[in-house]
Amino acid sequence: MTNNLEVNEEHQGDVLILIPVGRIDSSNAPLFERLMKDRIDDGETRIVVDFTELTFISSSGMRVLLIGAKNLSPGGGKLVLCGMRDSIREIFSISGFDTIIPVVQDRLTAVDL
Amino acid sequence: MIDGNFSVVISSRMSELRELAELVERFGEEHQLPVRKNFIINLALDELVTNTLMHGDFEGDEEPRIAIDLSTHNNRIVVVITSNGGKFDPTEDTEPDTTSELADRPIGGLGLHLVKTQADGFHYEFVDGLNKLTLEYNVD
Repeated sequence: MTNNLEVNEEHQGDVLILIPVGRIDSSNAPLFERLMKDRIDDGETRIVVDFTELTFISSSGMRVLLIGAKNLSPGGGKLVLCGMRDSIREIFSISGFDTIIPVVQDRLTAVDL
Repeated sequence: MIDGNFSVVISSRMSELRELAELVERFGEEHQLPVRKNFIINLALDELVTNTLMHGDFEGDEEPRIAIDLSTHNNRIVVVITSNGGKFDPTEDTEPDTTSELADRPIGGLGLHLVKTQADGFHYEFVDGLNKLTLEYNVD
C-alpha cells in the first residue's frame, strides 16, 4: 500500500534537520507523518525540513508539515522549511502555508531562525 | 512542446500512483513539457486519484477504475480523468481556509484547491455513471 520514503537526518546544535529525498505523495506521506511524530515525541523542538533533495510534494505531504508545526508551536518549538524549488514554493504560496510556517532560502538561515 | 498522447488505467493500489508519476514524468520529458507543467499535472493526478481511491463509494465487489488520458496539441495539455465510485463533482468543493493563524488553520482540504488554481480549464461531467473531469493547461 505504501511506498518507501528516504529521509536523511542531521543535527546542528539543538536543531534537527530532516532531508527528504525524491517525492512525498499520498503513497508515502503516512511514513513521513510517523517520522515527524516520532521525532517530536523524542523531544525534538526545533526542526528544519530541507527541501533541496525533494522534487515533488502533494497536499498529503504538506498536511504533515502543518501537523508538525501545530504540534511544535505550543511548547515554544518551531518548524522551518528551506531549499524549495520554484514549483514547490509556488504551491506553498497558493496554500497560504508560507504565512504560518517560515520558508527561507537555505539551511544556514533556517538553522539560525 | 511535441504533440502526443498516452492513456493509462489504474485500479485499487496507492503504489500505482508512483508508477503513474513516472509515466507522466517520462511523457513530459519526451514531449518537452515545461518542468512546471509536469509538476502541476503530477500534483493534479496525485490529488484526484487519491481522492477517488480514498473517498469513492464502491458497491459490492466493484473495484476502483480510474482512466487517465493525457494529450498535448497546439501548445495545450489536456488531461481527462474518468472514474467510477459514485458521483463526485469537484467543482462544488468549497474554498479552503488559507489565511487563519497556525493554531486555527484546518488540516486538509487543500488538494483540490491547488489543482483548480493551477489549471487553465477545469470541467466536470457525470456521464453514463462515471465522473469525467477535464483539466486544461496552456503552454506559453
